[in-house]
Amino acid sequence: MNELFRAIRVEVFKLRRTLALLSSLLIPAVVIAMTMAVNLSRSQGTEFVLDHPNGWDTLMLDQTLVLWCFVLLPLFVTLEAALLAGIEHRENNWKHLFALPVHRWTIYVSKLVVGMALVCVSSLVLAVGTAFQGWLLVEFRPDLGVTYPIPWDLIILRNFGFVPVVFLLLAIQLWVAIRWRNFTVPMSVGIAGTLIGVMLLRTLKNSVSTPSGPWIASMFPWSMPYIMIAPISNSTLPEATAGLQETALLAGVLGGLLVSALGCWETLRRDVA
Amino acid sequence: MTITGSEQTATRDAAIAVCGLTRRFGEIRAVHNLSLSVPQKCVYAFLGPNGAGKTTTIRMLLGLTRPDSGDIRIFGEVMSSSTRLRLLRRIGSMVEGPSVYPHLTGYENLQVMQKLISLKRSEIDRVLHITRLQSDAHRLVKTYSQGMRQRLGLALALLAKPDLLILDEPTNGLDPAGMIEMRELIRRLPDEYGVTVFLSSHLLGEVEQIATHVGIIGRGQLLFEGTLEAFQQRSGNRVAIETDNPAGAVEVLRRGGWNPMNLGDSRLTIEFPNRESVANAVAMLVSSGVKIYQIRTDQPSLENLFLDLTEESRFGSHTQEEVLHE
Repeated sequence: MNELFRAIRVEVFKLRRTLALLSSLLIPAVVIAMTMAVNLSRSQGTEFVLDHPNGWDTLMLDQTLVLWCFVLLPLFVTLEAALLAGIEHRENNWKHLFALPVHRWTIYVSKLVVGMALVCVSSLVLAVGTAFQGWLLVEFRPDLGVTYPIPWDLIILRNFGFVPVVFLLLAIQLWVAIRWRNFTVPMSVGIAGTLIGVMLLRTLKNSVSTPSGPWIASMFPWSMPYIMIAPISNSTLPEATAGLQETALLAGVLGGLLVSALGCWETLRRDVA
Repeated sequence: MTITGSEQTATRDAAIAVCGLTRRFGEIRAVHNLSLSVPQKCVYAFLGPNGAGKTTTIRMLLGLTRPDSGDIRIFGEVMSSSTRLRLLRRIGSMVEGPSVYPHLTGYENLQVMQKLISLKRSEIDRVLHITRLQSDAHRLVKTYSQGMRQRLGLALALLAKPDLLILDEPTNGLDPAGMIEMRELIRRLPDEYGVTVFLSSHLLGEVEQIATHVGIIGRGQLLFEGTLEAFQQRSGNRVAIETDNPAGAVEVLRRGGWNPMNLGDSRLTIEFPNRESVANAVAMLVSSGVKIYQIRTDQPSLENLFLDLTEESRFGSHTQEEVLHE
């Protein structure tokens, strides 16, 4: 276990002067800034459409987290995984790392752990940003309908609730990024996955014509995070969308474990080029 | 394969003992039935042209590539999945150039390894001193010259105080000054730090000043293994003589039992068994009234010997049974 902790510490150390931490701070901050700019510039007297129990949920589920989980999070994970692997590919450091007296799996697992930690950092930025934005709206745009107190429990639940399903997405993207030295391979997989995910998520509103679409979306790694925050109860066909979040959670966590184990095993047994 | 008692002792004492190592990549036979023995505390130059199987062999020594068959022993212990980590603790390596993080400083690069394998921080200063990188340690590696990167690669390889250093083409890409500097560094290691150095190169001239032992590989097979002196002696005692009467000189020398070759242009060459024979032959020629204008050794260069061996292997005239162990 000590070896794994050392590997994680070293993995964090290696990210100095890279875009990894900066992007996990900046990309969610941009989401908050964009939604804040839109909300503050709404014409006076408009009110949030309260299709959720309170204004805070509207702020998150209709604004910040839609932007984040629908498109930006899958792309962010793609980028982070490519970066974590690229740091070793750049000068072919795998041959040096794997010739050290360290279990290879610790190197692989440490990258997974750091990848998940970066996702958590981005969620933390979203959570703090949401609280800040809500405070601004209460103070300066009370007409929008966001009220005190700041519901920290809800904010944490919404911004971290989808994190477990990101595990599968990260496990796939990291495996691909480690397996192929060429940066374009993981990026292409990530972009293609995100686009397919967007198409699958559109079926949530058209579940009459594509009844199996929502179920596929709940099993598709790039659309799982949105499934976890989607307003499924408002679906036109509730029976087609029942249990989607539970399915996504189960598939995300178990699938993440399975893909991580497979990726690790494959990396361990492969000759180091 | 039968191993005799003395061979067993040699295998136990060797820093690296490889037996029957084979690795194919599809149809390509990268390494075939290779056997090596690297004595402790020597500088062993593993030579061969590009594509001969040097890097594949080194990768197998480090457990980066799995052999199809064959044994690898490091300090007498068989390399296997259960012993690999223990043996790697005794090995420092640099394979196909230094593995560094350009966005970190030289010191931070060393810290990565120091933290990962839990070494004392003072080890960093030690290897910076050996590789003379102290003054540049806190600069980003992306600003380093190729020579400095190579030295940092060597510092990384030395960080864990290894007993065996495996270096793949350590002078690759260096300018002449960088080559000299790297050679001097490597030359000091066995005596000053008790390290066995196994280094590969495709140029004999590059390593002949530092190597004590030589292994030559061609098309995945070992062509020669022995000390550098033994390799040099393969060229024999050939002498070229320039004289006023080559035909007369040939006759005199044949009477003395030698077999000279008249090259024309007043020159002839003779292969002598030893230096004493050279003196006798010259005395005989002079007493027979043959004028000698010039006499010099006519050894093929080590480079030529190396090329002869590797060219022969290219055309398939060597079999594994013909490996020259001297």
